[in-house]
Amino acid sequence: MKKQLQPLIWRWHLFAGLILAPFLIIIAVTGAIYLFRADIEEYIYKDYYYVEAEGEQLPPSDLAFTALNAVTGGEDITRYRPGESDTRSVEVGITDEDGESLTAFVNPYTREVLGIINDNTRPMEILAALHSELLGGTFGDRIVELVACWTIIMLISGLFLWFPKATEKIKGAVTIRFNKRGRIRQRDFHAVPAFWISGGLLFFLLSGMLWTGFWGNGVQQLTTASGAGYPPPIWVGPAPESTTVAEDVADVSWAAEQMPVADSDPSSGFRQITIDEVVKTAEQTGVHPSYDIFYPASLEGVFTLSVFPPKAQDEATIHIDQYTGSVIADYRYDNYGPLGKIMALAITIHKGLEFGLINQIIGVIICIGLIGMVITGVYMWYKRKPEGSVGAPKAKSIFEYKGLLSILIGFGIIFPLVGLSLIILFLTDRLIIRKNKTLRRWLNY
Amino acid sequence: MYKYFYIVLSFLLLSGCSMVDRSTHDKYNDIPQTNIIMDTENITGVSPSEVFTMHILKDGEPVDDADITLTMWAAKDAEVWSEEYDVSHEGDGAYTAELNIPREGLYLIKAHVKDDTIDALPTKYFTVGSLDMFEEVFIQEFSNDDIMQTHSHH
Repeated sequence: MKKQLQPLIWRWHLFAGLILAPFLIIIAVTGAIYLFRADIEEYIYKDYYYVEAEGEQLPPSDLAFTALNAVTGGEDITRYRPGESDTRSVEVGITDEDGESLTAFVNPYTREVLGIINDNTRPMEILAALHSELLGGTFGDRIVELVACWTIIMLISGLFLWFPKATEKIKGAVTIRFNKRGRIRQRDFHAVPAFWISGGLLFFLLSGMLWTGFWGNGVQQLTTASGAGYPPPIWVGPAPESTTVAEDVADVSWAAEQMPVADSDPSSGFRQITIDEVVKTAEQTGVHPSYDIFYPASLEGVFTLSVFPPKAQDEATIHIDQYTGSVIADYRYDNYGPLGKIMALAITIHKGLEFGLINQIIGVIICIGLIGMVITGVYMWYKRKPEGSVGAPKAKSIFEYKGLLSILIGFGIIFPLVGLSLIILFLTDRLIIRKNKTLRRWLNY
Repeated sequence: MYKYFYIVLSFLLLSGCSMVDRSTHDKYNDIPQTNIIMDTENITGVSPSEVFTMHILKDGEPVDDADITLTMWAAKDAEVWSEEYDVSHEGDGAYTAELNIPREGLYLIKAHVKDDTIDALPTKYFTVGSLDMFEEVFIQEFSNDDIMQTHSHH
């Protein structure tokens, strides 16, 4: 069985690998750099981040107002970040009249605006968009998801091809045979390091897929709905609202008379609490001090205190009623379901945050390993392939391999984008490739 | 055998398509829902003893041991004048205070409500008689504050 399978799997591994190669290089390079995001941003924005602690800090409302006025065409304050230490500046998120999202850094002691940056032009944001969606929005996101899924297929098929056929050949499985030459050494350079990083790479692929718009979203919804994952408002589902907390028994008659616009909400007469009070409440909750406060998005919305520090265990999302200042929802790592905890840890490890430098180094090794796999793989193919043909083993009908077909269909169900790509491949094969003589010859049909 | 494999997988996939419903919150959160009702309807004129009533409910049940501090100030004199009031407990989750309303205008009243699980600071504005130009502007600003924040943060 295995003997028959080998050429077919090799053929798939080769074609998929050649298609994936450029994408994997982009994802690995950007990922390796992004692991050091915090360190890089510390360096780029060092003049904006740090201040000298001198005396009392000014109230948050004062600093937020200062920031809003410092932005030309500044419209709304959307976010306030007090800063985790005495020497850290305050960050105020502002949207301007064009809808651009900006961050103003303010010295909390002197009210000096240290700098304003456009969030969309932050180098690390662009890098993240390149890593997660190839700068291509939703379409790019789907491509990255597809690449990740297919890379898992590559890993499995690669491990199948790598698996030693006889026990005495174990040397070429786990160590590179430097004393050999030519094809064997080329193969060892590709397959042996690939085997060593395969576990880590699989972890990075699966954890990275949690961010994807299609599969990742599905997993989130599934785990959230079952209560096993993240609490709903962190990623999916509606956040709690303010309306039921501070309310009125009766309509206040003056409002209808005085207000030019007939709006039932302002007529209740409740004022939104100030950011000073929200910060005070936040301090009482005892969350990690690197938190952000997001302003309510609507009349019924809530202030959301959100903190995603390096360690998943310190995560918190807290909703504060915009009219009463009371905490109406408090989700911490301990409240996550078992899958939610695993997902949260997987995410901080993926980003190189959970275990500090060691985590970053392992991440970089996996990225370099992946780049090495792509380069050695493509090189090996280029060296071996005959003139005028792709050099793949001969095509065989998948329908002769029921077991393999079942596994592929199973994969297509777990990863629907793989399923879709398999259907497209099948149709391309039947409708185009098989009808074209040159293509057939080149692809060794 | 594979047939069952597909059935299980299809089930998993299809169940993933259902949307998250609101009740899932309960699985993570058991913070009681608090209702604070600030009733300014009986404040009708300028007098030293206008009755202000509050009702506090926790998960629909009256709260009778809340610690409440009231602060009231005129919108125009926010920086220089404010008065603190103690409340008297009337039973059944109701609390009252007699407010001193020195003149017509726009006022704000802030309640700090505390018990073992509640820590709330609602502020409400109300008017007595007619407003002058400045107070009209204040009212406009109060409502603009609320409407201003319309951008999603997620």
